[in-house]
Amino acid sequence: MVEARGISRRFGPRVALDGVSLLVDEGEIVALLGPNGAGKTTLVRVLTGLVKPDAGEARVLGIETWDCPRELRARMGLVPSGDRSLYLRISGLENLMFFGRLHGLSRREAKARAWDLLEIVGLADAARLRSGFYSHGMQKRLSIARALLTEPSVLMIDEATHDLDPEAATSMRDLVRGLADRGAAVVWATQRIEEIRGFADRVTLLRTGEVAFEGTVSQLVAVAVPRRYVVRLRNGSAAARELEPALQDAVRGRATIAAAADGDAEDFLLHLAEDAVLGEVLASLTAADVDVVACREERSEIENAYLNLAGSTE
Amino acid sequence: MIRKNPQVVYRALAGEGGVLLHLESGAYHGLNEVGTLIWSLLDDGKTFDELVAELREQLLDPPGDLPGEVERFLADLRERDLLAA
Amino acid sequence: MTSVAPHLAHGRAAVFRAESRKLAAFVRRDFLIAWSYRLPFVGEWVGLVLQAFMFYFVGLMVDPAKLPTFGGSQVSYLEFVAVGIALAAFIALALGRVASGMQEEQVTGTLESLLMTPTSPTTIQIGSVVYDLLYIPIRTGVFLVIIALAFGLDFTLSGLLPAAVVLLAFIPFVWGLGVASAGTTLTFRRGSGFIGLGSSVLILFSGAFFPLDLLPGWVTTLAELNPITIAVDGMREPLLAGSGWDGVGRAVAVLVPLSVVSLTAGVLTFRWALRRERRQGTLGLY
Repeated sequence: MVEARGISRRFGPRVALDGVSLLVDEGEIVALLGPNGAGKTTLVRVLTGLVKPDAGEARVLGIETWDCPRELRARMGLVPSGDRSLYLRISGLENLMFFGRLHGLSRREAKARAWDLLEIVGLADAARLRSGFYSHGMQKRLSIARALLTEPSVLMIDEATHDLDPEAATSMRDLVRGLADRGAAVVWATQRIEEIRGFADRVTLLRTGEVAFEGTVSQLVAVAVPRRYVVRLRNGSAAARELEPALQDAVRGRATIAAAADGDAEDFLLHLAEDAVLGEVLASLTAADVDVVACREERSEIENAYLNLAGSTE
Repeated sequence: MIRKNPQVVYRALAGEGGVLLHLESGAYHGLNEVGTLIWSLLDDGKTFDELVAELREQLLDPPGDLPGEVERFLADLRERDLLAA
Repeated sequence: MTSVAPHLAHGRAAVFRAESRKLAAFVRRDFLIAWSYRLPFVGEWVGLVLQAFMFYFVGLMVDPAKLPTFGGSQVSYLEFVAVGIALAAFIALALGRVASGMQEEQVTGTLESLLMTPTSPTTIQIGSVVYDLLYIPIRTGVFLVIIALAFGLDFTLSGLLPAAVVLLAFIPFVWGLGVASAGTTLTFRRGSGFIGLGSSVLILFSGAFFPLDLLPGWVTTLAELNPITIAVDGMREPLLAGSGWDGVGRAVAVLVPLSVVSLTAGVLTFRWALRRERRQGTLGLY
């Protein structure tokens, strides 16, 4: 349903996209991951016909997106990034009614549909309030409601949950999952990697305009997790820092260990090799007369995978 | 003859199919179980017909248009520079 | 839950009807937005009335004998200039609003949202100005009636309809200039200024505020070719001289083709600018 092949796009000297391909079938949610500047928004704008690619081809529902005829726009919904895109001097209800009528709904249909969607996104109580008085999160929810006006077959969402509290973010994802279950193809661009597990069917990770990873979320975690742990060690007789050489000997071949730059003086960063088992490595530390007081993952697996592949310096 | 790009390494993932890593671009490409099977059948290089025939033998329930599906998969691999030119 | 499916008309006539119906949505939207700015809304009217007062008091210093006669009768300066004030205000406001309508959509980020609906760029362009194109002529007419009543101006009632017809023939000319200006704004992110400057010059040499025969002969000759001059005279004659429909035909015959050319050039300029911005990927950037 959504097909991008070899998409490249520059803006002046800056390469925004370089040979990016993406395929989304009906009923699928594909997460488009990447830090700021990775090219996510540019790709979404190419897929919605708002930007012409320099090279490559983008098709949605079999139609080239640059042409973007009325038939295609009637079946696509877009939740743009950022907070601009609503008429702030009129109410949320009037905003939805206006766009509903541009989709060809009669005034009555547009009003009924607007109320339904406001109810779904939790804005019914604020329906008649000027949208300029909405919080960022409320404006984002209104933007999502607008994208759903005609139950689109293809939904492009750019940072939808950016300003939402966890409960609202979960309900947005449930809403989108429901749409996908009814056959919509969804491109979900996000920086929030923790939200894609159990939500996205596949993920494409962009790094400086190029695809760094494409596959399932589990595959992403499996290949890219550097497996780092913070361990708190204690040895009654020696200061923790003096232990480092002995610790490195104990785990050699299965892990590396070094004093943690942040945190307590007794904290060490343990980095497991690919096939090493955490328990065995900890056992070798204990055998070296060191007490393992505590052990935790340095970051969540998925966050590790993302940072590792995206090349972020966070 | 269809051959793998020597710049590409494969890693099997338990229960997750496998992942191809293009050493030059550093990009990872996930494969499902059928994709993994096709990749393994290309170890020594094959013609398209040989590949389709061998797949048909190995798959329990091959799709109706197996050659078409295989062609599309190979086109995806070529697009990502995962096959030898 | 209301169930909806894409409402797409097919066939040229059906598409035209469907797109036209969308204009009502634009009118409603812009009326609500204008009404939300109550103080400026009222302020605009107060400004016009104050301007009329200013011209009234200036007019007290003007020797009526220096003004042209209409239907053989002498007119006061305010009677002479009322149509000019109304038309100049109409042009300034229409040009400004038409040109800035698209700019506002770009600045607020709503332009991309509009383009994501199955609405033609032409409907979007017309829609962004249709409220103003209805409101401004109505405002012009109401203003003329108010100052006529307030200052006891001697307008011929039967001249209202012929004057309105001339105004209607003139509107698309101004609209086309505004759309062209909107196109240059879309591309260059600022009102080009050229069109605004050009229209100020045209207003100055249109006979709106002073008789053209005060100008040197060759300037007067050129000024008589000015579309605004034709519109001003076309409206003045029926209102002041009671000439009825005489001369309206001539005015309309000149203004309509000019309007068609202006509007066509404006729409084409705008469409070119829109396509260019989409190609460059800078549509949403301001």
